[in-house]
Amino acid sequence: MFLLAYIGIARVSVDTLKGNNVVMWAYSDVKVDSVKVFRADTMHPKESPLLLGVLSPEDTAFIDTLGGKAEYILRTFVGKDSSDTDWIGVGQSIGIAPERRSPPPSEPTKEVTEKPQGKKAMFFDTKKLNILIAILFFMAIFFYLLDRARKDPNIFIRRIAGLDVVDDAVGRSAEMGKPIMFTTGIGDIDSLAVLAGLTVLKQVAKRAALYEVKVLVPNSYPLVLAAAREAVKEAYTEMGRPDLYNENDVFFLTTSQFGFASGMSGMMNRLRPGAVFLMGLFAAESLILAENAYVSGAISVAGTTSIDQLPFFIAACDYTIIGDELYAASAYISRNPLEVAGVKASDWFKALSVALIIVGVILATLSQINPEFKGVLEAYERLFSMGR
Amino acid sequence: MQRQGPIITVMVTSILTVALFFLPQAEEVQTYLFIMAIVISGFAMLIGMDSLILFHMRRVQQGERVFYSATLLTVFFITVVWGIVDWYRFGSPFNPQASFMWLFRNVYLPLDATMFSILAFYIASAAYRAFRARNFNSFLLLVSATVVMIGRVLYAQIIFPIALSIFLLLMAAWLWKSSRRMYGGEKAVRLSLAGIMVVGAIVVFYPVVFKFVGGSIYGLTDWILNVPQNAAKRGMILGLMFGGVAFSLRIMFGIERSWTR
Repeated sequence: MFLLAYIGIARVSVDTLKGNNVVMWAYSDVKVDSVKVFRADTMHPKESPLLLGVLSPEDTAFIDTLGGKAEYILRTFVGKDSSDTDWIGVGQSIGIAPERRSPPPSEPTKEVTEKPQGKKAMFFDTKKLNILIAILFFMAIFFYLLDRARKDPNIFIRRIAGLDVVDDAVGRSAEMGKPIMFTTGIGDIDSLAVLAGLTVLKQVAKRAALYEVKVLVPNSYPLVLAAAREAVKEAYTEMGRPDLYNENDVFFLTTSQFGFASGMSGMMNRLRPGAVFLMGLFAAESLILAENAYVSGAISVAGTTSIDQLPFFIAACDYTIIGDELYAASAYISRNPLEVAGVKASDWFKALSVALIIVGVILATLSQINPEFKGVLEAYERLFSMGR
Repeated sequence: MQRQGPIITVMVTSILTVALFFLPQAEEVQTYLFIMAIVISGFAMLIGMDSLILFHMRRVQQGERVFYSATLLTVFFITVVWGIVDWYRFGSPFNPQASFMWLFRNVYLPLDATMFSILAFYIASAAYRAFRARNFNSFLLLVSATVVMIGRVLYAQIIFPIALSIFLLLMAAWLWKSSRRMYGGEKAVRLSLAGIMVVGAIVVFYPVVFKFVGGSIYGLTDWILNVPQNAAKRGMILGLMFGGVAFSLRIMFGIERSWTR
């Protein structure tokens, strides 16, 4: 293969993985706005290829589940310009010279394995320095508060109604002799919302062990299933009731979004649980689950970080944990000072960001009144921009 | 080690992933980690299948809801075998020429679409419960939701003044009725109050608000979506980001370990 000339792309390769084709690429120094991946096969000729996806500049790979024999092309967009790579087949890879339209006549063609030279060779991406500083600053606050929590465990955390009701919901289920249903939604284990949901699951399972209530946990991803089983088992063990733990109460349903909604709705209507907890990552199935919880007569407590689904939960559920309250849920229920310190750190950083926003608003207003402030405003904006 | 192993693994891989974000030279390591995650997920699917099959097989053995469990197991094995046959014949069951795609298009997709369609009815029932003016906050929700809903349909410019007039008349009727307690039987006073309410609202509220938002219901809808709604949303996004970072640190450094033993 030869060095070719495309905007924004330094290297492309296509491999197969478990019947899927994985298109992977690396960017050159030019910051692209978006990337389109096209596929050509027997059904889709190269003249009218199949658009597989429009991806953001953060993406560096695409899994084509259609698999099979196919060729791929990447189209990058930079402002109004767009540029296509060459067609690349499965098992092939091409290296591309950064931002060079064509190889100089005197220069011999190079092999694809060659690393891009120039700015690309730098060890640390200085464009992301501000992010690194922010992370380090955040970590400093985090560890300071952690240290403080070790010395003085009495840290104030404001009341969250949706979490205060956990005891009532479990108690109600115990009185009714009904099980509790808990789901972390349709996210995989790499989702923070799901991990936060699992922390709440452990706290709920602890209370369920105390009241001897059955906890049913349907899962949509196997890795989440494994983690959920560990969380519930650990909760029962910590409460001194490992005998109550039944592995089959934490089970796998399906990875299909609406299949999962259908399965859970069916169970809610058949089993009529005393309480339903929807804590994790949800999408369009959120309202189906919430409404079925209402119809089944259960107390419904929901919490998600999906902003678009929150209105549905607020409308349909008895209690809703809004946004980042879900991350604080475990700390709130357990009152573990070290966990509460983590919640406090995010509060401190939120306060700091509000202060920075106010400074930005003042500068923006001043720059409208007096053009001399425009330079200050631009410098201030640059502090928070990546890649300038 | 059974306890510490997963925590150490999480700590090392998460710190490595954060570090790789700042190191452009290490893209290959990033890609390698990404592929490793896919491979692990693939193997984890076996745990899911094990849970699903054993759960339903036991129910069949115990004679508990046999029909549903037997149906699930039958369909499961038919789908798996069909997929494997087409994978062998075409390289992938999702190859456009594979007969498995018939199953996908004519069974799976319609079932999926049916569940999605039911959402419309759930939205209606949830809206019926949510859009009741129980207090001032829910009243605000009701008004803004009504305005946005009208502003998103055809002929909104015609519908909105009618809807607004009906709303103001209802408000005037409510005022006329409730003012009995305040002013006794003074009908004239109550009528005057109601009239002032209607005329005042139409004269003052309507032109002023419409001028402010660009002269149309569409402008008012956009204003609600872009200003108050967006402000609240951005605040929540900001909170989510910082909350997410703090939560990640708790997991990275083993403070939060509910997901493991």
